[in-house]
Amino acid sequence: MTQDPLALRAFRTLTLALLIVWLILPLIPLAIWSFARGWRFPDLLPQEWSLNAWTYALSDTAGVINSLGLTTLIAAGVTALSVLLGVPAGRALGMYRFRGKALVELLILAPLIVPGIAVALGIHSVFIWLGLTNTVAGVMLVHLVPTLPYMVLVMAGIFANLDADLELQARSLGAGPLQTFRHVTLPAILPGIIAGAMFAFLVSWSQYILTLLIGGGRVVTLPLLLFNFATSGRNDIAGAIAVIYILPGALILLFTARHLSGRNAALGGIGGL
Amino acid sequence: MLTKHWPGSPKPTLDRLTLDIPSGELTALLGPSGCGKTTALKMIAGLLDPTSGDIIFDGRSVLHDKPERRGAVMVFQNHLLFPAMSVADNIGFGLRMRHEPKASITARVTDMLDLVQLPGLGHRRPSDLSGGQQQRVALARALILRPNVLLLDEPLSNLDAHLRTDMRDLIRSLQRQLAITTIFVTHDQEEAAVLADRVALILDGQLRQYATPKHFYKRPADAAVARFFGGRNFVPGTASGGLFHSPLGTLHLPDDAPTGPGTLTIRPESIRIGTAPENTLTARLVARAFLGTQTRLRLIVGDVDIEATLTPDQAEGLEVGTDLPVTLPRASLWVLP
Amino acid sequence: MSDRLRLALLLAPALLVIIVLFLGGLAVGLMRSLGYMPVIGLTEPNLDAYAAIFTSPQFYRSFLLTFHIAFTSTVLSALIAIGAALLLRRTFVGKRAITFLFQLNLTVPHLVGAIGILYLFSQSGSFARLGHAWGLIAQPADFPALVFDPYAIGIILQYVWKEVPFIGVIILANMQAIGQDHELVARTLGATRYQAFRHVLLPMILPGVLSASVMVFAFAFGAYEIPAILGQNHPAALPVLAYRSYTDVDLAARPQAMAMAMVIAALSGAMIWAYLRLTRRRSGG
Repeated sequence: MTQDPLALRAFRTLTLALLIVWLILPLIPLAIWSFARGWRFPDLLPQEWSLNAWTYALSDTAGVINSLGLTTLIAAGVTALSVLLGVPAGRALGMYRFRGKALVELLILAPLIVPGIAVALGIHSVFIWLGLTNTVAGVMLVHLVPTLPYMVLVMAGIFANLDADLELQARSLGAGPLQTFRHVTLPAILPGIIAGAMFAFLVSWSQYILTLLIGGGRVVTLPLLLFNFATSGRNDIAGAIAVIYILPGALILLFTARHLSGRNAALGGIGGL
Repeated sequence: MLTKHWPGSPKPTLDRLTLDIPSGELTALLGPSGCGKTTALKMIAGLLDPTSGDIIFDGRSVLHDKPERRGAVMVFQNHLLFPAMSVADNIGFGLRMRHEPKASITARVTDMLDLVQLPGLGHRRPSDLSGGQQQRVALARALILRPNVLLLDEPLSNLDAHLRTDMRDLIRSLQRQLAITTIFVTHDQEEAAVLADRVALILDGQLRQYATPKHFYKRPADAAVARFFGGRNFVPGTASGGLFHSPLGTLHLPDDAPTGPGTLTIRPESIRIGTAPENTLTARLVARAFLGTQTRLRLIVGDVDIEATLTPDQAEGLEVGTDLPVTLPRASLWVLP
Repeated sequence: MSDRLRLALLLAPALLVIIVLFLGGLAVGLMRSLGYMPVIGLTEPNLDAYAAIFTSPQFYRSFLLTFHIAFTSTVLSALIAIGAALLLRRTFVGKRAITFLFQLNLTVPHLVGAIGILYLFSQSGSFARLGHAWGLIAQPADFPALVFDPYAIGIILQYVWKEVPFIGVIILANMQAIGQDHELVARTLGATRYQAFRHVLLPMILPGVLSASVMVFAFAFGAYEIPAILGQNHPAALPVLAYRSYTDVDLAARPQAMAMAMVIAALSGAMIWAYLRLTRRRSGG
């Protein structure tokens, strides 16, 4: 193809640069605020820099550390449950044809599209009777609504790409069902499980309204704390919490960047992260 | 002289290819996969820029013409019909891009469907057609534009064996009928020989021989060309005074054979069992293999191995271990440099 | 073990959780929105809550605002994402790094994005400060209201920020799978670069674009924290209104909150239907 004119190439480069800047831009004031002491209008940069926000955020009194631990605990627990329940279901959807499969798929897909608040109000009324409101267990259960279907879909994709004959080959070579799973199936699906689990972790990690409703404000995860500081005008502390809050996601992205060429099945459902 | 050198690759994919392609003829670019044939086709179509060199249509360089202005239409190997359009919309695509009137497009698409023997299938989706039908739609989609040059990339390779002959005949007859200058790429020497008026053999990015198909069998340029066309017998020796002196003995050569040291070659199917006034040798049959329509014989003359192929009927009764009279007809011999 | 039993054992645990929590949550929400709750003695279902919200101008303003937010965000995100994917699929120096940066905010929670947008676009935010430095405004109030504003510009900016990479990555994968050959064919058949995009590539990526857009629309229609941070108080986005009604001291407002949740659920039901139609057609074609 004949070389594009310079103007067109310059336009493309400029547009791309602008786009990338825009995608990073909102994170910058957050980072600056976390090191600012009284960053008043109209200063472009803070007059004084300080570590106050960080010292406070990392102190015992702020509750950030507790909150971080709690958020991690909830997300890890929810992820473990999702893997435990989601891997078998993903196998069923990825490797079997059966009557009513379309209905099952619909049931798995629906919670990924229906917003949490539409379901959570009903769940809340039931959890009141069950004594699950305002508890960590209740919050974990309600987080399963977005994470579990997500995990099932990812695993269904992984299993669909797994050659069923591979297991049969292992069986015919004398491996028992457990040995086959341990030595043949698991190594094949493990990368998928890890990627799916990391993103399921992030889905739980990012929940706000489900935690607020079911936790009743008593289960204070990081996003709740962040919301409170941000809306009460403590921009510096909000900045510090925001930086802590996005770290796991950034690490996971770095970790999976090689696979994230877009083909990753794990990406399919994180639009509502 | 077309050269394409991909950055980072040690040698050019296509090295100084020079071809003068006669108008209205069917020319084959032949070579093993990866030899740069498709690259050449894409450069002619304007889809790739050559590293150096020029492309001239009717005396005018088209190097700086955009692909849509070149009048060179390429048909890709895997047909690449547009899945969201009907068969008729696929065929009429190029005319629609030129904003031709709808009625004339419809009429010409109908004609085209008849021409490629798919009458009445215009409303179908490409995915509802068989592989052979899809390939014909792809051909019709290109032909409807009456291109100056039609470029076909392995037009038969995605078809089953029985469809291949039909498609081959269709391409040949359409090309004759419409007299469109056509260049097609193939890795199959038989396909090239049957279809093309002229064949350009490319090995390792370089043009090795450009001639009529018959020439490749009778007068190959060198041993590599002869091997590519199924040559098996190569005997070193010296040609002088119309004779070839070699471990086989002295053989009579055709009048136009070169002289000096060289390699004698003869195609396995040209060898005859039996005696003749000249060029008859005694050979021992050491092995035979039944190949369906052919029987392959391995013969030894002195210490030279020779391969011959006969029809199974001709090979009837020849026993391994016996000595046979073998004739290498003068007209079938050739001397390679 | 028969295949049916094996299948049942594989599916049952996950399905049980989803049916109980998801369908159960929806069902209870529906019952409460109808004022039907035998356990607490409400045995006469009625449509009072729906009558109340459908006659309330406040609800309509919220609904329209929310629809505007979701629709505008989705359309803008999809258009920009198509452009971004077209730029990113070319080969250029530093492509790996740029593609990584493009995906960077995929894992950043919406809440963080919302706060970032707030700090950028509020009347004392970074852009207002830039405006002051360049002498365009004298004081914060001179800066146009881009957050807490009636047109929900800040909210839309946040969604566009977050969803362009999401849709873009899906389109990019789609384009990589399709390859460039169809467009090259179109070019040799006489299509210009634009015609090849418009008539060949676009129809091929459209199902992917639309199914991703459907997810974005449903999310933007039902998300709480983004409008809660960046939106006006009145009218508030529907999820914010529903949450407020639900936590209202007046318990009578609860069935209305449930009714609003059902409206959100019904709309996302329509989105699921659209999603399925789009993805089925893609795999069937």
